Amino acid sequence: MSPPAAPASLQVLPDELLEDIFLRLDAVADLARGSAACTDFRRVISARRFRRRLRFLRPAPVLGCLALYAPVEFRPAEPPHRSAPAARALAQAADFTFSFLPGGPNDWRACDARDGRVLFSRRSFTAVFADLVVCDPLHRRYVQLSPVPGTGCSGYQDLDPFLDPATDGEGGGAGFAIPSDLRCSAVPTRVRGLPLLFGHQDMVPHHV
Amino acid sequence: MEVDKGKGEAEETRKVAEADRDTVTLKSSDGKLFEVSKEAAARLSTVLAGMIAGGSIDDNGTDLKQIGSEALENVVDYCNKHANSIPSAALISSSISFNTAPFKEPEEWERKFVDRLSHDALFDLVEAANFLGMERLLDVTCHKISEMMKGKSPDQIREVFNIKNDYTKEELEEIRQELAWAFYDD
Repeated sequence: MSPPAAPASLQVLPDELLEDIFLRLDAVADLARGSAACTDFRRVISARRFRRRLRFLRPAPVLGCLALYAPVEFRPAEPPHRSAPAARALAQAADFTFSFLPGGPNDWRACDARDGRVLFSRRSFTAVFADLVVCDPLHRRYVQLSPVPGTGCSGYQDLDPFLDPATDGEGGGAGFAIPSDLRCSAVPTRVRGLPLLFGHQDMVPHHV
Repeated sequence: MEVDKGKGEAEETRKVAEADRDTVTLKSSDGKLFEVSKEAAARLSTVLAGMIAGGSIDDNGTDLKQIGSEALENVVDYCNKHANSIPSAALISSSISFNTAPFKEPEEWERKFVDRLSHDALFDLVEAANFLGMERLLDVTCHKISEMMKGKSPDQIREVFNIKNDYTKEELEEIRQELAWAFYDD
């Protein structure tokens, strides 16, 4: 045993091994505190590679329910649930009134939520296709989707669009991406108004 | 004639046995020699398994220039203990259960094995395990270090691991605000 006076520094380990260590921290709070210890740790924890490995091993923590009837309402997990602190932080940091949607939130109807993204549609009176946006309430960003080609369906506006689960193991990331393909289905895939579990990928602090 | 032939065969077998020793000798960066069971080395380390299969094992001591004697002693100690404690079938089933539990919990003896190590020795052992492709040992050592981080504040983490705080005051304040939930509400 070496004397405790001059302990070795964990910073000597290469990034790859730091990742292996951080992957074994199962509380998001431990990762957050670790990333606050020094810039090296933050760099490793916030890197896309680490976040991909983490999501591969553990699904994003469920932080609450998102009720999709109008107006959309986020209900954070409450104590003693282990995600309660992170859920409260998400509720404070994110915009669940979706005020950033183009033209304001009132025109939009929430269709689906998955992996921290919410899908909205808006009836369009000038086009066959409804307007669709996927948005990220935490970063107040959205991406407008172009119409799905090749459907050739005139009743398209009445279909229920939904977010297809990502299958490539990509998960979220530092950039804003739609984590899945958008598909259309003629059958309603969810009963509207039913609260959907909402796990947010981005609560690991990648942009502290 | 018959007898001679018998003798010759016996001689042959002895020679084969010598060439086919059941231990391998490993040499640390500082020139110390360690003997380890060939079977355990091949089973626990993908790198050593490759060297044994490829015939690049040196009977006078296979050079492992990246590994110091203290770390190598721990590696060898781990291999020998492992050879005595766990049948290979247990190892195989542990890798199959990947989906249900991403990391297998260390066994009691493995916990004790890493608990007695200093931080220096532990960090060196993580690197040695990584270098030698010893998945299980890497698992056990990384688990130990992550245990030392759990539930600790950034200050405590810096203290435990002797980490220099290289954030500016402004950055630190920003982090405190953004991650307040992680600092005060656990």
